[in-house]
Amino acid sequence: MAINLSQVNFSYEPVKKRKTNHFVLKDIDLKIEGKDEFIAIVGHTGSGKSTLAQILNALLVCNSGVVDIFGKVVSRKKKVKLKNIRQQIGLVFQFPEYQLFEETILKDVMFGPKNFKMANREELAKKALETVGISPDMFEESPFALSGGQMRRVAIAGILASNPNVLIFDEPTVGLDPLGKKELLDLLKKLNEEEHKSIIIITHDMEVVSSACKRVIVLDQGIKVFDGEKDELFKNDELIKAHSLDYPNSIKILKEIKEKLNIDINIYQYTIEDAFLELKRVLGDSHE
Amino acid sequence: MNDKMVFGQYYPINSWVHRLDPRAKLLSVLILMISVFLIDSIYILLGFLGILFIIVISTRIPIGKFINSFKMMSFVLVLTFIIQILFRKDGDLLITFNFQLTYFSLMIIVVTLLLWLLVSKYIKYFKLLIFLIVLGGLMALQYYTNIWGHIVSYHIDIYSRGLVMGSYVVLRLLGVLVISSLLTFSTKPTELNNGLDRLLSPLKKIGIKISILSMMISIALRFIPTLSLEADKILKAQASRGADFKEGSLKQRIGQIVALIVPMFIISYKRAYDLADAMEARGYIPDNDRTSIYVLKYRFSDVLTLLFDFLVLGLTIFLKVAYAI
Repeated sequence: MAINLSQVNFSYEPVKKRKTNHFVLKDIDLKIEGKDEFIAIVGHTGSGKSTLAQILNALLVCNSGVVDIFGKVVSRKKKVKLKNIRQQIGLVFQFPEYQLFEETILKDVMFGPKNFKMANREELAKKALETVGISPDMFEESPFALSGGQMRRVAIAGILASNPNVLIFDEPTVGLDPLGKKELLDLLKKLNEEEHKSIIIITHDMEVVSSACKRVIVLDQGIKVFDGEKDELFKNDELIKAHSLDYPNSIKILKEIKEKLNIDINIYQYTIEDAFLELKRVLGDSHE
Repeated sequence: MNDKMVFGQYYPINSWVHRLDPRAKLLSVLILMISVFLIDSIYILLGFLGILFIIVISTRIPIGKFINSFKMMSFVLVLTFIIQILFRKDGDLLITFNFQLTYFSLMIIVVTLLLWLLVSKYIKYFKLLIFLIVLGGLMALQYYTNIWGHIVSYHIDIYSRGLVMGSYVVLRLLGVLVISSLLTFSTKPTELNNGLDRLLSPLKKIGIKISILSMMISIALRFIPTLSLEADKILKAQASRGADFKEGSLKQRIGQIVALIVPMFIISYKRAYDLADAMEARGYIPDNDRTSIYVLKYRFSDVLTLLFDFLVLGLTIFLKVAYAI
């Protein structure tokens, strides 16, 4: 296990003995593998998603419970080398384009590897930039001359360059147009499939969940209420209703069609292509 | 980070001082401070401080908050007192201390000071008090012992005027501190800004545009929490890229700070442009006369407060003149 949380509680207020704290995370148990995972953490605003992401990267330290990241236990009492944890777990914040600061794109991407004292930093940076689709003739340009979407990709490359095993994205698709969103999700899928990295996406966009993720974790008011395959989640109508989650569009449409036309159809399709094939299968059968 | 960054000293309760019009409070502070500096009898000064103390008690702001603001100034207070005592040489000679500096006492002084340098960073409370006690001990050593090689003897004379003037300075500074702390504890920065804006608005007639200045101040105040939140975000984002703002050599740390400052500049500029656009879109023209959402109105208590202030000022002037004759 790469990441192992057990009974984790977290509060932003200092904990006092007699006062009852408002805990942002309550008794979270979580196990995440170091490779091949594709997890979505969903929940409403204030459900503790972003806090959980920061705990996974040791930016915040839990009040009680055990946070074990790659064999290192992060606690308030004992200091551990946080740099190793942060090298192995990359965290991409919301609007990462604001973290750019160097004179050239290449230098900015090399900032992470430089801090982690990695040997072949230039190679790593170039590879990361290539992965996100920035062409080599732009490497020496200023990052501030780029468009918004490109800046975001450079910023993501800045995290990728440290070659982490686990990548956490906090609302990666916010502020992107549909095409940019698709490109970004394709990039994440590529990282997951080709480089076997574990990807964790924090989102409340069910389209992102349905089109890319395998496993879903639902947080509500700091409590983990669901952890499992996305199929399992979307088939559990009660759970979705109880935590006022949404269905992805493909499921919504197929559900509507199923009810209106009263046909036997598997509504749990997560991409437009699959939905189309399923419709073709069912309708084609009935027409024949 | 945000817990530590409480801006200003405002203490949120609803006392009668809190409810006063900020203009009345600003004027009161001005008048009372003038009074403090006009008073030249130590008994009247003590009486004045007594009245201030009653006012402070009546607001129910914890005394500890005032003591905290004294703590920051305590070094200045003690220093001015000592300087006054050492260098004022008029009035009656009260007492003379004869000191002998010997090799023995010199050695002990040097050792004690070295020890102090080593130990002082572990002392958390009453640092100044402990330092003064140590200093007193060293002086007493020179006063009572005269062994092991005499180097030089010197004496410190304490004159009555020195003592009186020293107490004056300390008491006056205390008065000023209490008055200004009362203002900042009971008035939000925005209220203060509004009050100042309205008080100085007559300056418009001689061509000084106070409204622009106060708009600048209020925007700056408004953006402190926003920018501190942004700074926190950038700090975390760079930390997750391995930036370490706490460890490393000075050169490394300066390099890391750049990773914080450049994004902060860019964010501030972006916010400033956005705000300017938003203000223009809503028809902001810098020089125009405009009404304020906070309408300040003098009430009975404000008038009463101002009357009281003028009474105090009048009384001090009267007593000063009476004394002079």
